[in-house]
Amino acid sequence: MFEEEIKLHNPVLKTINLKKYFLSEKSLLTRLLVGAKWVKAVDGINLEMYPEEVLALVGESGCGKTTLAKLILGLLTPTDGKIYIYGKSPREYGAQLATILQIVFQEGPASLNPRKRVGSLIKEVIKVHKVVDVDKIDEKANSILEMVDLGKEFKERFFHELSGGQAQRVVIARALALNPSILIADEPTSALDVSIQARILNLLMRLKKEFHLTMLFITHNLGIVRQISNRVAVMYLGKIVELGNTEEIFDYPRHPYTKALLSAVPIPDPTVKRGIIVLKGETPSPINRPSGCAFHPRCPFKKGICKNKEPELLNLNNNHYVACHFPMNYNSSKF
Amino acid sequence: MKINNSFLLIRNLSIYFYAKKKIIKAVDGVTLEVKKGETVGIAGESGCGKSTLARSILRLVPPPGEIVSGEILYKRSNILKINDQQLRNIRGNKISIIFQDPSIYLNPTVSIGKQICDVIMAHNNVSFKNARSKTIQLLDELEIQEPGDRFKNFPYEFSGGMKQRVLIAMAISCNPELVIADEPTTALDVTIQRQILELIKGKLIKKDSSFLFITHDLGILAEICDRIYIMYAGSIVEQAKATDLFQKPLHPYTQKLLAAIPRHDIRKELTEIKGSPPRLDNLPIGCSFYPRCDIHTEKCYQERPPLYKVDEDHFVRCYNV
Amino acid sequence: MARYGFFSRQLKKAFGDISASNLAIIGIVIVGIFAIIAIFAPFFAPYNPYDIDLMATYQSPSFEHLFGTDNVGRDTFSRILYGSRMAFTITLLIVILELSISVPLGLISSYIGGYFDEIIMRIMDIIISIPHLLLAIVIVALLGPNVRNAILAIGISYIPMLTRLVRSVTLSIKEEPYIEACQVLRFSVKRIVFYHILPNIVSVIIVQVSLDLGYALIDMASLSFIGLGVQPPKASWGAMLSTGKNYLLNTPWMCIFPGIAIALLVFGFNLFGIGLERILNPRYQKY
Repeated sequence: MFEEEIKLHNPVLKTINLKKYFLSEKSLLTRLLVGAKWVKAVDGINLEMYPEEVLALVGESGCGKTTLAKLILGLLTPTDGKIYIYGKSPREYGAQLATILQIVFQEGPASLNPRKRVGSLIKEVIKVHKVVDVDKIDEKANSILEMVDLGKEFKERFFHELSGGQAQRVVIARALALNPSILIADEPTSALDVSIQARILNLLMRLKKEFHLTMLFITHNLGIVRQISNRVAVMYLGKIVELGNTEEIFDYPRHPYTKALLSAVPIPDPTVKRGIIVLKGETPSPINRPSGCAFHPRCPFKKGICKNKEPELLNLNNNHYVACHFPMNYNSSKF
Repeated sequence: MKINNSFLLIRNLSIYFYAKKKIIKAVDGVTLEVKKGETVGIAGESGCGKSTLARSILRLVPPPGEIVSGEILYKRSNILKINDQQLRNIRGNKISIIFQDPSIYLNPTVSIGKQICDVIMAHNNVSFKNARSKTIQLLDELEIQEPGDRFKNFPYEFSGGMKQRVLIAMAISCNPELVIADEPTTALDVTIQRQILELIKGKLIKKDSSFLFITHDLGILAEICDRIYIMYAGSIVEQAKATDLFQKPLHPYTQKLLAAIPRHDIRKELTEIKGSPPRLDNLPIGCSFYPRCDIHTEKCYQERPPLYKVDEDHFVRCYNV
Repeated sequence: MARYGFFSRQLKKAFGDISASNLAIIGIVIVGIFAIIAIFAPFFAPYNPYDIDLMATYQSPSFEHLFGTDNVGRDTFSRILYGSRMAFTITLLIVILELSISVPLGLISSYIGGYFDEIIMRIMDIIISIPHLLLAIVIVALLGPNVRNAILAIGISYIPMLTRLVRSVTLSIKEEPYIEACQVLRFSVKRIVFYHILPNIVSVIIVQVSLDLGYALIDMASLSFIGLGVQPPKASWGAMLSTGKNYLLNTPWMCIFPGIAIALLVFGFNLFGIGLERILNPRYQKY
């Protein structure tokens, strides 16, 4: 099984108590006059990723999943905590980090410079990082495009001449041009239509096998998570509330939030009958994080302790971690 | 189709956008029917013309779009032919519409309550006081906490989900006979989407009023609709009862679309659809889906297939069924 | 709808076109004519602009002297033709000075951000708080009145505006995912700023600069008018105005024709700038 396999390896990527706080006011003057609060976008994340696994990071908007990605990529400096990539901190790698860690952004077209041709965008990456000799750059660019099922003719195109799916494939090609071993995919298909989405996902999975990639897949689409990931981490207000193997999380979610999230997604089959948990209220802003368990104001199963004491992320069994005082139980029956 | 029974009947409607040097056929010969008390869904991918179709029902097609042919019969009167006064009577009063992005449709400088009151007062001859109490009652019905206080709030003080509730309140404030919802939950988070869906199921879908729901998310339609139209490249390719559509989809596009949706309740191989949707300014002569279809024959690219009736309430635009 | 019919569509199309590209074309034509005049001034000019003819002072416009003559008998028409050379050289030099400082400064200041940006921007605020013509006068007064100093003075007084513009546009481009993608790919700051950001803000810069050309012309004329710019006897429109104002009541053409020349060229630059903005700014682009 997968969990046995992963124990054999050292983590590829590890974060220890990773935190990122922002100030709610940027201007010095307002901060002095009105005062500012800390926005705890990412608040103590411990995450380990093992070779060639797909870890899905799930959460609603504002839960801090994109901030976490940016921290790992070094686009933001953490307030506290540590990141290790193959046992070394990102800083030790310098510009080399680009050849180890890459990202596919959500807005495919937007992450391509509108004034540059596809060919020059890809060749630039190869050139700057000296992947191959100067005279082989053209050849290499062709093979990279071919890898994502795009022909040579796309080299002359601008991004506005590409469809959403094609643009996203160019973005993937560019990210993989440096042959990284870790790929972060930040909502890579959320801007795409269903019929295109399936192709991009299958392409990503094919490339994952070919390149032996370790993938962090950030998404809000639980359907995708089920199809492609080995493990799932569910985030709520800057913290991981549940972490475990995909099948287990989907079949036996232990955190009430995970359960509510799963039950909220409509299923394209009118014959499926299931219980739906409707959460009351909105996700609180990370500025005013509720006391105790951050989920307690919306939790249908809350008790007195939830308001006062923050639950820790504990291993229930089989590497299934839950941060809840009263995890859901499935002893009696399968839901 | 019988006119008598139907409540809203769109017949052979075509809407073209005239851009520089090209004609974009956003809606191309669509026939659609909504019966009284029925919940109908239109599903399709982005750019298939579903929003334009929805807007045309209230004559809200933005220029340079033009309705070039067809008719929209609402209780036997053609909405495209009535004068502005009559149209005003229908808009908001008899037929109302909810859009995807609520923030665009709310005036940021006027309080939420006032904006709903304005809608009520525009269509009913009531005093502000009555309109106000009706508004508060509506807000309460839509599960907005402390509606009396919230009345005075401005749009920026509301989250996306709350704004969508306000728009729903506006839409149902005059007890319309038909509510059109154009992707009302697409911009929202899953748990908020669920709240809005439950509201729609509980408050909007009533026995005596009809509901037209437009979305790209077939999951939502499976949950709430009686009948579903599948739109592809400006035309209807399949229409069926919700259960039939999901149990035995007939059009290759519908079949592939359903197979391409990643579902969280089962793990399966995702089927791809090759190619991408045709450009609306350059549609194939025959079936618009044939370049992506696996079972197409020679006839498919010579002539556009008609809408075949395969069953009671089940129509397919395909030669090969 | 039939109501948004064929006619209104055509009207809109036509009107839309006038408001965009045609403006720019009219602007280009005006500027182009002046440019040709400037280049071929010796061919067009009937007289040497510096030839003093004391027998023919204060002459009103005639076939002999199209625009009349001035107080020392120089042919106004020839002087205006030669003046256009001065006008182009000076405005171009001012704008080049402005560009060469503002663009790199704005780009780098905005991209690096932090205290560096803060300091640069406060300096710009100080400069901008002084009316720019006044600033130019002060600078010229300090350095001494000649063309070089006038160009320097006006150029410096323009720098803050363009720097702020470049900075603010860069700020928004900086947040674009494609710049973030460059950062992830660990490109150097130089590459990101000049190879990826700059091409995306060029259109904004071009528009601002083409408008600045007009302003520069006016400001230079103003400086010359009060005797701090181009010094007589050089043929410059501002200086001609300055001389002409003394004889305004008797020989108004000494002022009118240089005035018209200034107004026309400024008009040309501005039309070109506005038209260009309409073309390049996606807000005006419809369908």
